Amino acid sequence: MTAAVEDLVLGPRAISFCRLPGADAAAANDDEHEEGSLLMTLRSVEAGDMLGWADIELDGQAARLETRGADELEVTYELIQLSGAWLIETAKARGLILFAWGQAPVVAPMDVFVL
Amino acid sequence: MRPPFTYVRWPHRPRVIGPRFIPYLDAAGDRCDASVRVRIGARVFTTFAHVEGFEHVELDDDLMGRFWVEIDGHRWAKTFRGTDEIHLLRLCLWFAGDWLIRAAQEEGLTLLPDSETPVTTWPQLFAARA
Repeated sequence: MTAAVEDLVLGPRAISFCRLPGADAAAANDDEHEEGSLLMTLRSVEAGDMLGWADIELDGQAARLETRGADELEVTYELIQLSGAWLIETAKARGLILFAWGQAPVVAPMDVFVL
Repeated sequence: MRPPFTYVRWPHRPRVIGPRFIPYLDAAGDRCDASVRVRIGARVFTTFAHVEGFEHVELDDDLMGRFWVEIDGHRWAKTFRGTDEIHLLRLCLWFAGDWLIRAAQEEGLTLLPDSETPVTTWPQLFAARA
């Protein structure tokens, strides 16, 4: 009997955001920062493929983003791109600033995962 | 003042991600595979009990990740601390990818020979291939 392969779960990652505009954000103290979250799950499927999904939440808005790939690193890379883009777009639409305490503004999907 | 004491604890079952095989042509033009593998799950504990004035400070507890990368007989491994697994994974992909590109340039290797554009940035190595 072959043991079932467990899902690979990565995270959760806290996504810091702030409601204050522009220059005020950098001066905001910790109490004014809120957190969204991101959790990634990878599962082996037929023919050696990997299925991956990201459960993501920001300011009450939630989504599940899915992708498939040939291996775990390909799937996690694609999930980083997808969820990073979703977070940037969602933050923009809701007037939020991601990682306002960082050195540089978050403008590309990969930036979401630097800090 | 004595430095803080740090120790590492690996879990019973660390998470191993990969390997990802990355095709390249060696100096003789033969097709080979480089590889990247990441292991995440150790926690690094730092206690300040030996530092005067900090005896009652709580333990620092960081997540730790390590990657291994190999191409054409050259190997490198590096360990990072990070806030979470996704953060660590992104760090590992970044440093492993940059190292692969640099090693390939120095050794006269061609990464992703089927790609229409030369590999100059690390995300190219991990993006889906057509």
